[in-house]
Amino acid sequence: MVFETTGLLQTVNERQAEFIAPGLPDSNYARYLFHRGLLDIDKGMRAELDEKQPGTSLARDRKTVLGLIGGKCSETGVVQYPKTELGVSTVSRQTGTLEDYPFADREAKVLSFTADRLAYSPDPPGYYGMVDFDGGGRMVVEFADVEDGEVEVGKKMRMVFRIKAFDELRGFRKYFWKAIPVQRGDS
Amino acid sequence: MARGIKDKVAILGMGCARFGERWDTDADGLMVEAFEEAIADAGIEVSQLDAAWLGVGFDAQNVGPSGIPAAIALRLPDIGVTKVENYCASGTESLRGAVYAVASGAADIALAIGVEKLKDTGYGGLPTRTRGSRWDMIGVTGSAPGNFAQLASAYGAKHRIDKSDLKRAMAHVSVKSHDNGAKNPKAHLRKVIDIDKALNAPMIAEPLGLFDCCGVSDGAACAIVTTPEIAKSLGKTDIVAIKAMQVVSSNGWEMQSDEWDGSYLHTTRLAAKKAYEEAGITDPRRQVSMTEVHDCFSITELITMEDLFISEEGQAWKDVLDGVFDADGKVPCQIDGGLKCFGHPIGASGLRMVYENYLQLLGRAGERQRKDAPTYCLSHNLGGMPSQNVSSVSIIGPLGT
Repeated sequence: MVFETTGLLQTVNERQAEFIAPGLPDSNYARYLFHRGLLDIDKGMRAELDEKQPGTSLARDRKTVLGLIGGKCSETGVVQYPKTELGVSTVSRQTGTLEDYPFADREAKVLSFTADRLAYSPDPPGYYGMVDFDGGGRMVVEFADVEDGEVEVGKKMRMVFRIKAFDELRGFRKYFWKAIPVQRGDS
Repeated sequence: MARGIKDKVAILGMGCARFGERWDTDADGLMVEAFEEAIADAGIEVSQLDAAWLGVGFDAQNVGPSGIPAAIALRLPDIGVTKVENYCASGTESLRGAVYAVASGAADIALAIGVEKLKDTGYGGLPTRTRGSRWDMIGVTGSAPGNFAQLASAYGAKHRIDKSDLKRAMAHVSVKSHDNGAKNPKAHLRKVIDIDKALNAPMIAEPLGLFDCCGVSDGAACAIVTTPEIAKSLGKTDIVAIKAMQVVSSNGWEMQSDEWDGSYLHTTRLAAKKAYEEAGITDPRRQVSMTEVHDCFSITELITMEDLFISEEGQAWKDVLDGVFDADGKVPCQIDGGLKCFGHPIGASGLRMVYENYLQLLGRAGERQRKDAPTYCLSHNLGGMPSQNVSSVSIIGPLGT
């Protein structure tokens, strides 16, 4: 398949660029080669998980996955991620009451976290944890661009759009959102 | 609340395979090992079994789909065998199925067997697996220690516990379990360790080091249950009865609402309350004789002591360091060595816990036997991750207590 780009690519605005631009400079050449696919290393058994992405489910959940859109219940006002048919607040048992609610712009605080040295990560240890968004809603999310000892419960984070995983068998790149420290993202 | 099952079902016999790196046998062999002990203990013929439940956590690991593998391995007498999976509560779920069948009158005698053959996977720790297509797009494919390590961060922050104090309490949990496991011929890890070894072990998922994590092993365990009347008619005198079995599954509240603070297991608290009500327990710290809890990680065991209302909230780490849960403590925990030393063959673990409680109640626990005539013995499973899980609390004790 051949795709043609249009002028819309030029309309990416400053706000959208902020979701992609932040990063940490790295002068390690071995890591550079690895991330460019030029260094064949043993990733261990935990990297063998089949990352197959059903296109139909990605299309169905495109707002949830690519837009980080959750839901706000029109009955209870409760905000949540992801959006579901029945809201998390069981005060209301009505279905279909959640309206789109975007999280990407919102800052969040770390509720719990770890630095995982067992799970596969292309940038070990894998930092992740639960974050609570300003204004409500929470999610378990990977952290990016953090340095050892930097994350603590209560630390302010913000969201960036990153590569989540590669389906190497089928040549598909999966994208999702990760949390980075606010100061880092704003510097 | 429903009327419950207290004293409606008796344990007729139990069995437990030797857990460990069982390169010598497969899942069938492990099931046979546990079953032969249980059927001999029960004193019945295989033909007397009316129904069976098989608990397995990881579908494809040497077992395969359906209850057929147990029916074939044990040559069961053309009865229904139902396979159950409910994360790490799978073994307990198999027992719950058998117990409910007997309590309802649908079966006179029923079998519960749980098995897992993990070592053939080659993994250290549990294998990585999918949690469904939506989770795989928006969730984190972390490891089990990574998921449970987060409990320590939230618990420590909430109760303002110095990190080194909490780490020391977690180390005590593991040292205590290794002391106990060393005395158990069926445990996988049978070496004692000291505090320094636990504290200085390589980091797995901060703050959990190697000795904060339970082992991974192959194993099987088995129970045969019936009514108290049938047990008596078969000549049983010291009858161990089911007092309570409760299971609670997360409905997304922890993960999606803003109300849970990440420092405890919501489902365990709910399951414990229901189980105590079913068993008639009003003061758990005084009335529960001993516990076998889901010590997948040291921090899980520590916090579970609060979620079972045995320790006050924010105080379990002090109780741990005071020795309350040691083998000679007030409420011993993992007197058999726990998941820490048995490892965690998922389908078998829940039944392995009940097996130890059963031995203790009958005075058959050998070197590990408590001398103070235990009454209510509790077992607990926790599957999934703290933010989304299934929890079970089961209580057994002498019939009529």
